[in-house]
Amino acid sequence: MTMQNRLFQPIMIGPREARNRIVFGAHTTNFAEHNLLSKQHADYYAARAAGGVGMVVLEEHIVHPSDLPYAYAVLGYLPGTPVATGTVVERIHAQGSLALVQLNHNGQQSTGDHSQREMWAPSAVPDVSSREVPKVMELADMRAVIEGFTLVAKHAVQAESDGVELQVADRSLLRQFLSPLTNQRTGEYGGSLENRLRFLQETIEAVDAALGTDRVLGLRLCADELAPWAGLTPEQSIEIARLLVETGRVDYLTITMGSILSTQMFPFHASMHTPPGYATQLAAAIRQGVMNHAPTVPVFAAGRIMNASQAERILAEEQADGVEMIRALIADPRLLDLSQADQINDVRPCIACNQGCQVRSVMNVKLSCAVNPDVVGTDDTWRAQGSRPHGTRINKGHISPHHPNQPRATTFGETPGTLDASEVNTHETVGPSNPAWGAGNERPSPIYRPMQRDASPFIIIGGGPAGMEAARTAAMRGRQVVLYEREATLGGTVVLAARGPGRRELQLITDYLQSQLEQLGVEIHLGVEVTASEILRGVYPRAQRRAQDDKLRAEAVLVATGAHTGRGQAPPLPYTNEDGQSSRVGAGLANVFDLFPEAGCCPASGKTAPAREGCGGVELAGGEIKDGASTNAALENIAGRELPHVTDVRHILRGEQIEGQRVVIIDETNSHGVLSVAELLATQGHTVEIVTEDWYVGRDLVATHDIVSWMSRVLAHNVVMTPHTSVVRIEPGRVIVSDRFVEGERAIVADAVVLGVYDQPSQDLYYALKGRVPRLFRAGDCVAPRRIEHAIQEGRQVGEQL
Amino acid sequence: MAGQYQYLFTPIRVGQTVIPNRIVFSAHLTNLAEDNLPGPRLIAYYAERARGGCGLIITEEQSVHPSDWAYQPLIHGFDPHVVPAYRRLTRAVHDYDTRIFAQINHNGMQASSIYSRRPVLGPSPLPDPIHREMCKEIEPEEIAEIVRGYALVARHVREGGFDGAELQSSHSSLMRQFFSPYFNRRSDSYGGSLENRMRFALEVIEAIRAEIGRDFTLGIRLCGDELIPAGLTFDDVREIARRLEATGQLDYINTSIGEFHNLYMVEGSMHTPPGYQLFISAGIREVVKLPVFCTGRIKDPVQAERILREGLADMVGVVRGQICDPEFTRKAREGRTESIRLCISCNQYCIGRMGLNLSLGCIQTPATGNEQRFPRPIPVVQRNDKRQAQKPGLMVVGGGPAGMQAAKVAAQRGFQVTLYEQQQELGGQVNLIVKVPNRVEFGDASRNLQRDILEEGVEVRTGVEVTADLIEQEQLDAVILATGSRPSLPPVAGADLPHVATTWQVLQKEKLAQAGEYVLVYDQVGFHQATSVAEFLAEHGCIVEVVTPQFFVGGDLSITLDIELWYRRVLAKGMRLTANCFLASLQPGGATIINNYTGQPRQIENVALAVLVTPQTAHDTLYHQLQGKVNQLYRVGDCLAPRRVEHAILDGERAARALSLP
Repeated sequence: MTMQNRLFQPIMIGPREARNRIVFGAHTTNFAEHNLLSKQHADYYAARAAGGVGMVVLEEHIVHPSDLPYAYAVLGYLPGTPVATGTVVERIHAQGSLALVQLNHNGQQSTGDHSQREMWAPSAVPDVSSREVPKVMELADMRAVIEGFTLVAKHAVQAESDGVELQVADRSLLRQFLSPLTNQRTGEYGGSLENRLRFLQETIEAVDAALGTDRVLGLRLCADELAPWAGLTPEQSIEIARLLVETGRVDYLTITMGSILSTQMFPFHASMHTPPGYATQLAAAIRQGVMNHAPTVPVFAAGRIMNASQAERILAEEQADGVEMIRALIADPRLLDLSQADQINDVRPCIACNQGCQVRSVMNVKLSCAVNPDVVGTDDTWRAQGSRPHGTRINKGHISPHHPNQPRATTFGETPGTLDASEVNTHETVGPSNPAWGAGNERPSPIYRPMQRDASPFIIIGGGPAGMEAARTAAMRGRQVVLYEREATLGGTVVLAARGPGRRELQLITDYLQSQLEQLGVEIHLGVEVTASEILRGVYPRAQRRAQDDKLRAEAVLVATGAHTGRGQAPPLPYTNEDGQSSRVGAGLANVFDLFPEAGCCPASGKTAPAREGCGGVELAGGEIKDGASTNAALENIAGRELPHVTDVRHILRGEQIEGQRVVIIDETNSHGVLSVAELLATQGHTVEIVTEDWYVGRDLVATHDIVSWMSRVLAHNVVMTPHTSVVRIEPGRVIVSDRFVEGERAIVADAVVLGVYDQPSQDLYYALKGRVPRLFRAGDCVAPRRIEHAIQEGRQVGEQL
Repeated sequence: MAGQYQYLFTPIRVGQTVIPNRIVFSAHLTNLAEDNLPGPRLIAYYAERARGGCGLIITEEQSVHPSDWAYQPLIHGFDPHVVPAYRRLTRAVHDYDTRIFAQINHNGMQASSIYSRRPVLGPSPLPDPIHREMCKEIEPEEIAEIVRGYALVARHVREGGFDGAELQSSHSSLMRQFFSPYFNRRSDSYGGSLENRMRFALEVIEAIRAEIGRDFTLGIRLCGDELIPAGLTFDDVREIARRLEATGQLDYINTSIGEFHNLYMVEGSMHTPPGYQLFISAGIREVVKLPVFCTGRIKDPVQAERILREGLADMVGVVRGQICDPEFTRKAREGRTESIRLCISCNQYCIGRMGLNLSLGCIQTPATGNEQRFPRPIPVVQRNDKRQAQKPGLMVVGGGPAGMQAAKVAAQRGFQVTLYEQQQELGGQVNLIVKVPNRVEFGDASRNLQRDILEEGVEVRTGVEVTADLIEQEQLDAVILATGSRPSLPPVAGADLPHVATTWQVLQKEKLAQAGEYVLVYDQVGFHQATSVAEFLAEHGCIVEVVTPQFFVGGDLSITLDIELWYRRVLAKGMRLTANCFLASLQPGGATIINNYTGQPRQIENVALAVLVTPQTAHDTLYHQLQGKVNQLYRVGDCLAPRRVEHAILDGERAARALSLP
């Protein structure tokens, strides 16, 4: 593509040539097995190499046992590393990309939780999020770590990689030595810049010696910690970069920004709320600073580089010599090939949601992608290849070997009652992967076949992400697809969610799917609500049909009807009991304590407990056995929700304007959706108060790195946050609430109340059809209201099962 | 008859199983499974409790269906590969006079899909309060498949050599969710009347009996009260117990209390009374003839014996007690009750690590969950030279948990250990913790160690400040420094003012405010330090405000399941909690805090006392003085890096095991 003539030019990186200027940067995947790179790693990286990336940097290889940052960290010092990493390197090389190994020690940003020992760091400064105090490294410790770097560099050589990258960026001991935030040492490794550089310089020297002359030594360098009171500043970093490249041992620099102390943004893999290319200017400044000293040392920009044209622009403007892309290539490994082939619209776009790819947490979840179901972050057997990393384990679908002929239920997908056993299992295998993808175990995208126009169509009800992904997959597999959407536009809840402030990029994925459906010739009917009786009668409004048929026989029906606003969960605290008295669940709890002296026996107090008879007097809240109607209306909704000043998040996102100044948001979910509505209303000038039973407002924003910037934005609008508080009822002009832990109620004045309650599945159509159509599937929120990734994964699965 | 314990060591028949004593190591999460199967680490863990004399082990739950993957290391009981692993496990336990049952479970909607990548299933579409993910309303075909899963796993359990099985219908289970009118809002034959709500459980029991027969012990663990409105009440559960017994298919009933809205009642910390769940077992025992098991902070054999004597239960669940001391039962039987290492119900390293997806451990017992890493018995050292008769000499400096653990283990390894403590009392910072309301039980962590080192013959010298000269004069083979840490004040303007205090100064009553005076507690740490001192001052009558830069006050108290009750206690006292702010400066009688996100300052006036809770500083002077002057020099606990008690004790264990002789 002529537009991208710079991006796809080869570049010398030290002694090696990369075929283009795009680096697939190092990031945590949790794919490791026994703390070594795995087959899943190989498949994952090879898919990106096959997609045309110039250089792959393998995820951090830990250099020393004093650092075990997460359970599935790759421990580069293990003797198995040369073989395990070598296998992955070979797979990458086979696809024409360079392969580097990132070496790292996380210092005080590690944890003692897994190692059950102390962490090591330049000074006894705890990380602000873990608050764990590290051991101050002694000279012997520093020597040991440098030996670790040397050892793992040698492993990288034995693995026949093209070299190594040292982590001096987001989470690294090397940066901690550089930065006065974390290095408060006296003596030769602290104080002056020269001293703070010493440990890094010694490390580079040792690693360089281990690598020999024909391999790459690169640095991923944080050039601005955004903590100007003590952290690294761009000015210092230019000086640092200059001193480092002048050694002649550094072959490239990748420039990053931020530290955990930055209050305006969370800088590691910043989300859609941070502008694309947010750190590019910083790379440009460093590049400017080192150019005269080491013109052959390329500088790579990093941070929200989302597509090839943005990358090309960065190179055209000479802000960098190349770019690091991670998330965009997770979302679509073929981004570069497709861009180069002028098929930019076929690239599945990263939406920077951070919902699947930010896996560096103690939960050990494998990397996945909200928009790309081919990145399968699990070894569960729904994945197409059905292979497990631990060899030949069972297909978990077959849990009942004694009843092979009975139909098996599915947790979603095809309705079980209507199928023979061979089809009911959601775990069926699709064809072998296409070697052309180089993707191996990475799930292959469906292979395009021409649509069979004369076949019975696949009817999809609902044009949200689940329905669209199912339509796309089925159409690519040659099925004729008819898609109905009740609304005037496709996209479902995603389009609605994208109306929240700063959330527009969410819609990239549904726009992409829509354009794919149009290209594939999927028959789409908007603004049509199909009823169960129409489907059962074979009457499909507006559907094209063959002339000879008066009825259309659907091959299969997918219900992807999404979700609707729920009625509010029963808040467990407080509640109104049968006498109409406001009571507290704590009643049961309090009884335990009140009863303790009689009911328990405490050796310390010497009190005796009653014998068997004595316990008959124990009465807890509840009373009679509720044999009979178990549904308690008071449980299922928030009293007063029908009042005229009460609305919900969906209505606000649809554009409903709120009258009056004071708005109370009842946040049951702590989700992005509700919190973005709070921001929306605040920016519209309302006085907003968020009431939640949780310990704080904004929980879901933590995992996606959004909380810090969201807090800053909404607090600037004086949004009031009221945690650990339950809503008792809504009254005209006010909301009656109660602190979960304090007796008594209070009123909050509210001109309007917005319910941020859990959705309920729109499953009526499914149940109306269940057992009455030949093949019935469902996917997405109408199974259980969850997130984009679930909808897209399930849509893909249904499309593959046809 | 084992001495003072008339009932505890009377065997009991439960179904087909004769259990030699009344101590049951009830089901609990361990996160020790490997590749979702019982592996060497888990087997070593259970075998160690069997070796300790426990009568019955009930394993953690075995998942019945792939739709349940509630946490990462969950054992996949439905996987046929589990059977050989079960055999290895049951053989290891049966090497001792201990019976072992397997718990069988589906967590239902009390799960997330992050591991299974499948929708979470529950009776009705509701979000779980912990995982906050909406579940899928389970369809009848899925119910049928899950019922078959139970039967399949029961068969695996029987083939795997277990003595019995237990159905989980307690705090995290699909079965309880079906029972519960709160979680089960169905209108089909599985919802509505109690009969309908019990249908799933009865189908499971029937399927299991059809699969494995009547001649295999099968019990159920019931949640006695969900403690939520419209949830299961105690009366409901007693009726359920009656109806379950009436099926004639079950052999015992185990009990518990609570669910995920109130996990702090399921696994009560030291802030709940010992035996707080006993009214459940006692009340169920009133209405059924089956043996009934109890649980809930049963800490010692005296308490257990009394429970049996008074008819509150037939088997006594001692879980944390045996996590802490695997030899709980044997010591009781041998008349060494006083030697039992008492659990303090701190929840820091057992339950606390479960929620964090980490392996089970114990703050007092480094070998728990690490049985292979810290094997027993400990290898004894011996000199190879002519001084063979002379025990090698070790000096331990510092009598806190780290030093005492090091001294104990080194003594067991054959060292002649002298332990020096600068203060008059052993215990280190534990002596401060116990000054706080409701934290007195923590003192057992120190008392346990004091008793152990006494038993091991460690020579203790208190009130002596050790200098480098003193150490260099002695002929020592090794020195372990456990000199602890000291509070340090942050570099905040005004931190040197007289109204500024550390937690130590407050707890030692060196600096206090009067009742009615305003106290600011600034918390950068987030664990029990600040919340304890704040509560201490509130009890003293002060008006307390806690300020933290974190999202909420007392963040890490949720790990130990202490946060709810702490909020209840302190908010009742009118304590003010301020999040998202850092301390900018202190002035005489005042303080300025600034919001992290808006930069807005707030001036706090009339501050009589400002307590700053910031990371401690390692007290490592002696270490640096001795470096290069002592053969083997180790540093353990806070003087290495100021952390928590569990780290101190782990350090002590590791250092003592690393000691060698030339």
